Amino acid sequence: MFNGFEPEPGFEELWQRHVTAVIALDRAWTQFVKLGDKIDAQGGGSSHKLWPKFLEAEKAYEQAVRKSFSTLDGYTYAVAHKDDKIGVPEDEIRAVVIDSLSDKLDELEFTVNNGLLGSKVAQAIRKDTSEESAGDPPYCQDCE
Amino acid sequence: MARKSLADLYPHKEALDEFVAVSLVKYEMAEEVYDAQDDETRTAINAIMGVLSTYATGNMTIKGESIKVPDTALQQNLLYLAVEVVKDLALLGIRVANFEFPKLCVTCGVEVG
Repeated sequence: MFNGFEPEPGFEELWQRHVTAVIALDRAWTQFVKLGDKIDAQGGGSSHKLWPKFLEAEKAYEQAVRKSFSTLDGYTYAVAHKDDKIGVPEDEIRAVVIDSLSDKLDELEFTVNNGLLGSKVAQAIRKDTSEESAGDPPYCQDCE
Repeated sequence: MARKSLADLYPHKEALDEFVAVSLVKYEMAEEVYDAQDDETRTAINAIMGVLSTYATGNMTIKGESIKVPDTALQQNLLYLAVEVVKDLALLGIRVANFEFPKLCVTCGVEVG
């Protein structure tokens, strides 16, 4: 099963969860079909003594299908978003923005206070932020 | 009878002129940082400017009075503020888009070799 497929490096565990779910799905399907065939062979229907087990097997199969798809979704989503930046919490951004604006607004007037202005700015850029380094800030000899 | 001087007629002119002159200096500093960024970072800076523009009244307070600011000076200030926000975030380890410090002293703006 899935011979020749190499999961994305670093995401092997997520892929393995999907493989396990597919194996469980295969077992659930086999069990479901086996019970159905048995009931059919004996000319039975809902009155057959194995009927409750057959219904249970059907539920187990449906559950296994869902798990199989959800683990595949989990793997593909994680791989598709592996390079996404992890945004910085908005509170942290807001605090810095408020400080920065408070120092430099001078006499300019805004219709909202600094706190709200800081929040709006933080909301506007949150998705673009990360905790990566922008490098060392340069200082001239006099300011060092 | 004493004649009115220009300063009497426009008591805030001097402060406004100074504001306009300082705005130009701020703009030149900010523009240098802005131009050194890639498109993604400029878009983020523009987004900050957009928010500031939305809430700016276009006025400034001089000696307790609200005075209209020339539009150019306002825009120059908003770019400066937006760039300063991004710089301050970077100084505290929060990077906006792909922001990089240009080769200018972060304190005084002098070119650093």
